[in-house]
Amino acid sequence: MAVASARSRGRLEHPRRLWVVGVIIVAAIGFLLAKGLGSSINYFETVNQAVALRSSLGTTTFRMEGVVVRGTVHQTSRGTDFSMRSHGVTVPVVNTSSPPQLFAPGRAVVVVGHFARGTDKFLSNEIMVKHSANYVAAHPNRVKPGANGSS
Amino acid sequence: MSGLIDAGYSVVLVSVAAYSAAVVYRHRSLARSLPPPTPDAEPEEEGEWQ
Amino acid sequence: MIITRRQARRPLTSSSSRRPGSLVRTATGVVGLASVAATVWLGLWVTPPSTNLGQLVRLLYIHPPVAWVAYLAFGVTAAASLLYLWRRTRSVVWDRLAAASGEVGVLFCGLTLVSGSIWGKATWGVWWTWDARLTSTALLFVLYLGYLALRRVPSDPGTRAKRSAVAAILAFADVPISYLSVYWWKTLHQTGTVLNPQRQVHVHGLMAWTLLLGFCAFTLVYAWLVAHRYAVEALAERQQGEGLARALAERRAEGRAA
Repeated sequence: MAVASARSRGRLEHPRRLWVVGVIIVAAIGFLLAKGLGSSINYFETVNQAVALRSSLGTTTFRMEGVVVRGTVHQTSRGTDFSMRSHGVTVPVVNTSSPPQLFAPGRAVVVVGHFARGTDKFLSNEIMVKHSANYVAAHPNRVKPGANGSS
Repeated sequence: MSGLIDAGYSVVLVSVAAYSAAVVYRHRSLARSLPPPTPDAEPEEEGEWQ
Repeated sequence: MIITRRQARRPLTSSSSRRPGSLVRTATGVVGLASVAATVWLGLWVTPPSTNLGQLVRLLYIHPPVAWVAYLAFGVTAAASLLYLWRRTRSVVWDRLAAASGEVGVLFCGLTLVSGSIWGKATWGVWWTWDARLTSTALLFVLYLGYLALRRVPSDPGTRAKRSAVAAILAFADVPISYLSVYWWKTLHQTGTVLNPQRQVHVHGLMAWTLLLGFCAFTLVYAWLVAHRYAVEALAERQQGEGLARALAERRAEGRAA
């Protein structure tokens, strides 16, 4: 037990390989810590926060969260336009990507993009659909399935 | 899109099964290569170590 | 029937697998396998679609249980490491348990990331995003991968055990961060379904039972895997010890011949 250096070594136990593995792992930890302390702490601004920060945000790219307002979703030649609302504040979104399968009015979404210069519009090229941890069985006889989707 | 659900189930089940097989195989082969830990069984097993 | 030496020895070695401990292990494995099969059957065919996710809800029965096992495994590794470091309880048993549980934890943490990524693509629309839950879980995976690599650094077993124990305890700090990240920060990831601080589960009848079964099933599989992995660790130590004794004997024989 006292002398371990004499034991048979596996593939990973080669000193040079261990160094390479160690460097990769330390680099990955550093990268993930930087990501965590950077983009993860303030992952998105809600619509009202974004509007409040409108002047300081300028045209920088960030993530904005809100609920898709019913009756505002329009298919355009470039993508889908809709309005997003949070805490009573609404922002029109011009989106140039195909929305995910679960994208629907009344659902919470996170869009990636920036405010258009000189207008109140938000230009987005990515939509992510948020959902809650409520899992309710869909009833086939319900008039409006998905009516109490995440909000 | 439900293809993604099947893929999620598959990747978890296949990985756990593969890891399980590897661990059980390693356990079996080690148990076979090593003599049972009884003092009088030790000398005659010396021949196994070529 | 010709009984070769190898076949003759087999009952001897397998007699060790008839000890009560091994019976418990086998029973755990069988029940675990059966409950995983039942979870898959209920999850894919019996449970209803949900209101907000439709058919895409089905990964609910796999992803949270797998993530729970990753947390549990790292918890066991950290607890065993503490027991090793504490002089009054120091035993090679805790070092082996930490190693075994750590490896199984890395597997389940990796599967948490992969199954989560697939579920994310289906529901959120993206494979990956740098929110706090995803980032801290990826960090957890890499931290314990580092722990496993550290265990491979050749050194005196006592030193290795102490060094890895300290690393395992430090790395465990990321487990509560990962778990609570969805409450501490704004994330795309939903909050805890079952293990939330409010202790409120918003899952309907059969869906909830299937999820509960999933948690039990993967926990049993974890226990079974750790039991086998622990035995491998113990046997490998013995093999190294005997290999060392043989090397010393050869060295002595060489010395006599010269």
